[in-house]
Amino acid sequence: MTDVWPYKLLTPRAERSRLQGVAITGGQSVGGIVRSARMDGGGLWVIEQEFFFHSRAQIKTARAIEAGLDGGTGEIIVRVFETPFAPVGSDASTVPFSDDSTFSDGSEFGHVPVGATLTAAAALRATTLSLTMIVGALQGGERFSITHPTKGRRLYTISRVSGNDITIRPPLREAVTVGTELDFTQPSVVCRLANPDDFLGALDLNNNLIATAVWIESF
Amino acid sequence: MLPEQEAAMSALGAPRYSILVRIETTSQVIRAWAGVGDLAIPADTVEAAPATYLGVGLLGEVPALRQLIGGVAERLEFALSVPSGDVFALADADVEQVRRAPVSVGLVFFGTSWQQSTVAWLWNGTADSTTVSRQASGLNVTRQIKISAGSAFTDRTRAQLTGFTDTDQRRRSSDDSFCSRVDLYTQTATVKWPA
Repeated sequence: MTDVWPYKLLTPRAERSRLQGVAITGGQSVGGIVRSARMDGGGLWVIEQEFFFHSRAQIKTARAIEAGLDGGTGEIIVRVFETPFAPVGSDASTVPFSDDSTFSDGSEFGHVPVGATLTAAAALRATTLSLTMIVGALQGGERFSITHPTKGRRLYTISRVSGNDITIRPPLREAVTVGTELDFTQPSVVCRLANPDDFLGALDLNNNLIATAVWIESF
Repeated sequence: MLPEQEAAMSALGAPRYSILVRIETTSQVIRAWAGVGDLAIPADTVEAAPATYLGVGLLGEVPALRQLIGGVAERLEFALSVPSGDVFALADADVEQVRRAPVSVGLVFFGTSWQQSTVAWLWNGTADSTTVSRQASGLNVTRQIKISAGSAFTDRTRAQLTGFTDTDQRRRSSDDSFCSRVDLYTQTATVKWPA
């Protein structure tokens, strides 16, 4: 079981996530045209996050995680910030306790449903998915995660929306079945730490510590 | 590049392609491609059954391929970056499994939404020796195994011909008199044939 980054405690103050790929060009022709070819088959997630730690709990947790990652060989599930972009519905619904009981005044938990499920299976490396939204509508540019049986949690971004079909990048890391859930609220991906030497910065006199992490999708 | 591959690339517009390397050792088949994640390849002339190629972390370096006719046969080195795992044992303990293993290099072409269209196998060779290369600079240590492969024309038992005197030729083939008149030639004189 891969550890999950404690996002609520260690929230990045800035982050940048991108699909890193390898493109080669043949240089510029006389006509000014640059032709390029892409050779990586879809790219690899690289996530840069910057943290400002100032509490005892934050610094100790970060140190513990750094130790557990064993110099970049360990894996951890890294979450990207997606809350303002998730396709949420405007109507909050309510949920009772698991035994259907409510609070003493009869009220239930507030709950905003979010997410989508696939209506068709898709093969390994598919880039088109058919889905049904629980609530809300997709516009493109959203990021979501699928928890695959063997590859674990993988991150995808929506490049195009056409009715109930979406085009995603990168290509699916593993085949998916009908009913697979798409998680828009906590998109995350299995990563390794690419900069174990520079992860935690210097601790200053006020017990503040700036950490920068470069995460690379792990296989 | 073959005409059909050129046509396949042109037809697909902006070319998206990647490199496949397949090394068939006696115990396992190493399948690697230059992309990310798993890649399923259908059965074709090289792959008897559909196979999965592994992405990140295996394929380090693929050399330029050449086919020569009447020249010095080439020898290529493929680099597999393997910090650990059973592939590493091939270079260390199980060297015999690699020797004489067939090596194939191909290209896989993708459409605009990364759906693969055709696989073109470009080069076939035979693996020969493996070496482990380990480079350390400061705290960064990279380790690769390199598999040397030759084409069908590569044979290290035969040296390149250097001397073309009658003695040299008779040593190679005792009844061959093809070079018997070589010593009649000098740089300054032209001798009529036959003199």
